[in-house]
Amino acid sequence: MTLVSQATPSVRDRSSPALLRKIVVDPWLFGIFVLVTLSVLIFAALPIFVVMKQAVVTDHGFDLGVLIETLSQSFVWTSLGNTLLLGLVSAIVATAAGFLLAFSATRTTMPGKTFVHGVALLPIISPPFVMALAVVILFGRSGLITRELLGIRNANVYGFHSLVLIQSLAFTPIAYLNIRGMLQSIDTALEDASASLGASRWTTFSRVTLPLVTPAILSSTLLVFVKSVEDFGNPMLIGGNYNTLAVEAYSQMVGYFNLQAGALLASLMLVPSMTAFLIHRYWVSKRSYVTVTGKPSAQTIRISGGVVVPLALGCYAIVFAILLFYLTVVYVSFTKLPGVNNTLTLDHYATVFTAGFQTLTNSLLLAGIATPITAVAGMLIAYLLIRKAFPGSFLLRWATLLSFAAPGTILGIGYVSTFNAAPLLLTGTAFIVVAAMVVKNLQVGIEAGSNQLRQIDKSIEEASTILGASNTRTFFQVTLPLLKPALFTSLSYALTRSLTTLSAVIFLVSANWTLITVTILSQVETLKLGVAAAYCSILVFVVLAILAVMQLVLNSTSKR
Amino acid sequence: MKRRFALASALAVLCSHVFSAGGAEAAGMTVYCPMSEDDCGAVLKAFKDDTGIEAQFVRIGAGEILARIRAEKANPQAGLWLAGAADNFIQASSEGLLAPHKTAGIDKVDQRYTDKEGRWTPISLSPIVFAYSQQVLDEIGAKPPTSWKSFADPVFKDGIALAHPASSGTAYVALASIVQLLGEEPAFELMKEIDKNVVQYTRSGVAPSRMVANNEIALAMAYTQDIEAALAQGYPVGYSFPEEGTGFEVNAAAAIANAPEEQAKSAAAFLDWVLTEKGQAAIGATFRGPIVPGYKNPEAKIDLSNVKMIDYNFTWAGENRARLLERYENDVRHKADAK
Repeated sequence: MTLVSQATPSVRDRSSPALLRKIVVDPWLFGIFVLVTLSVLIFAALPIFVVMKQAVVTDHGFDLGVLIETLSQSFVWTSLGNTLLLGLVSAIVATAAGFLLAFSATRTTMPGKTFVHGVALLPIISPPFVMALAVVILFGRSGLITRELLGIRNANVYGFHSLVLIQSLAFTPIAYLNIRGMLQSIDTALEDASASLGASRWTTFSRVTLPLVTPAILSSTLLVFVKSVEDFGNPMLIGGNYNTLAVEAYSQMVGYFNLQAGALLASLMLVPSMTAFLIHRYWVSKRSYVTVTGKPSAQTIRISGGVVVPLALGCYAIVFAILLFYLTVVYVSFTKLPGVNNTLTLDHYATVFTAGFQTLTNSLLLAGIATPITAVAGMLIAYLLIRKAFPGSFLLRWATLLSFAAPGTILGIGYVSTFNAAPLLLTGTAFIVVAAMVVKNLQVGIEAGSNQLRQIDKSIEEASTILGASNTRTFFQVTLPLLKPALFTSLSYALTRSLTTLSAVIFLVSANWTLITVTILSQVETLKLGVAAAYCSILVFVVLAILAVMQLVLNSTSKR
Repeated sequence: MKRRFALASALAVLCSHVFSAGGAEAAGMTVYCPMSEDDCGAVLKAFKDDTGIEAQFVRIGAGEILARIRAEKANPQAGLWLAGAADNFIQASSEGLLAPHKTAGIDKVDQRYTDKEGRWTPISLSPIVFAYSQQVLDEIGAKPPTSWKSFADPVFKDGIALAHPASSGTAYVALASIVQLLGEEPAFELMKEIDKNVVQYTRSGVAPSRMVANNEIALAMAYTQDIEAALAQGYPVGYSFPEEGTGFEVNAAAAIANAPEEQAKSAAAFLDWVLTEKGQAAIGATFRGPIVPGYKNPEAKIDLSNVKMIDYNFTWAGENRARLLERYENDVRHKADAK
């Protein structure tokens, strides 16, 4: 069975009567499509274009000269090379770690799965610069490990190696959630069949399981690569002299007051990300991954015995590393002057409690609004893109992609410039923050949804429509429930990322709507590491509690 | 069905809250402020106690404030930009982003520190100071720095962090001071030497002092108020001044051009207030040196009275900022791949 949804422009032209019929058959769905596409164009593409325009249009009008002049500087190409290398290495490491975790959690008898699952999700919960601080406190010159344990006096944590470590750890959950969702929804009957036909475990793994999760592996690599390219906080804090495009773009815009060069560098960042997306699309659309067919299925296979030991050890090592980082942050929140005076104290929490929780409440409220919108819109867009090829769906696809690949700083500045005048006067409201949160995280929902949809046999939905349900009804009552694992992925991802987002919203927060991450950054910048760590610990705790509740709700509703 | 209705009404309540709160609670003036949250809050509270004018602040870095004001040009959201190096204000006024205001009491301030057209108002003076970690110095067997040239000593290899002068006022004042002190060519030669010792260029001007405070690195350059803040928290930071004389930053504040009328009025009131005795006391409480001579913070640990200051020409520094930064970027930061 091949997928028919990936219509190329030429196909679209030839089949336009069919497309027209699609619209007539289901005007509601087409209406939703138009609405979604318009919103995405306005809130995702427009602000980015407003900023990008400045790369070529100066005060004197359209000017290719400045473009060439900027491009001829060698630092542009050095930082592009740095960005690509870092992105590739982080993507491969994070995806490998995510796969190991997901496979062990869904297919083996590894002990302590719930714990591993919980810890593996941790890294999306924290603002990125906290990880960087933990690395410094653990491995820096006066680091707890390098100095106290190993006695190394001149450890240098700044540079490529630390960046790979932090990015891999920080982005592993993206890969883990993505691959896990897919492994869970694969009908294990295929693996059972392979095993009962006499295939060895390795053959079953390499010829059945691995090929089936390829879309998730590819899309994880892709997502991590794009996140790494776009990452600004970590290279800025701990990159040392390893400059990436995001850092250069930021310093050009904010430091050198050179909007043109900044916009150009930011546009350059889109090139590797968009290329990766193109390759990925080409690859995935060539094959079929359908395994959910509507026939009864069950998840039974359990790999046990000796093989589990190395897998489990690998997982425990990752879990240990993650825990180490987070416990460091918690430890710092209880120390008087981290690294200098390690007396335990509750002072930092006292400070936090006196200051009140206005920013945390704001963050929770706004992220709480943004999360369901992100998740449902992500599924909806995935459905529209994979199942329905309306004319103009390429607009939707590329606009969402663009917003995901664009650095947060660009999105932030774009939002302020675009939504600061009638008819779209939004600056200063909470709405603009919510919109930025949704737009920034939409792509993960779309990816998760698309992967899942590729596995679901179209005939299930066809059955629904043949029995007289409208496409809209089919989506909400048949497709959406089947997408539940993916929905959970994007819900938890959207929630945590919205709560910890910084680079875009720093331009959007107003006096009434300050977010907790902005407060944390401000504490870090004014040397109050203990207070920053206390805020982070509280934030992590709150998010964990919410995720646990979400998981419970999901479990109780999915008992079929 | 009932459940769905409950859900929908809950959503509606939430949404109305989100939209209304944006406007209704926004009474008073919005201030963009790059100082620490405590400092921003304290100064604005003193202002309110004295004048009764309400203000809330958004705390973001000075470079981000400029980017944001520029992006909001068509419809400014804030009335006042409080604090930040004068260079940023000179840049902003050249782009027409600031509203001129003839501040009451400006004649009490040394003329060299003022803008002729009154587009921004000087509020305080911050000298550059060297911060060092005695622990790291002991380990590598080095002495506290006494000169700008100390930073080029190979003993400090990987022992120095500097803020990037493009993103940090601290670092730019240091760069401009060295250039004014030594002349441009020798200054860039020195910066190239220093660059060999630098382990990390940070975005924020405070970050290097944080690294010194944590014994991460040996040396950093900072504003005195940052070191005062670290000392007040109990960090054992050592400090010294260059024997050649040190540079300083003029901190400024300004009303944002075309701000809503109510906000513009409050901003003007703030500018008039900040040069009064009470205003200077409030600024001084953040450990920034007063711009109107006379006020002294009793809690300050660093004695500024004997510090040798160079005749820092910050108008020149502001006007040459773009050129010096570009040269810095090409000659110092990217020299490796320039050849």
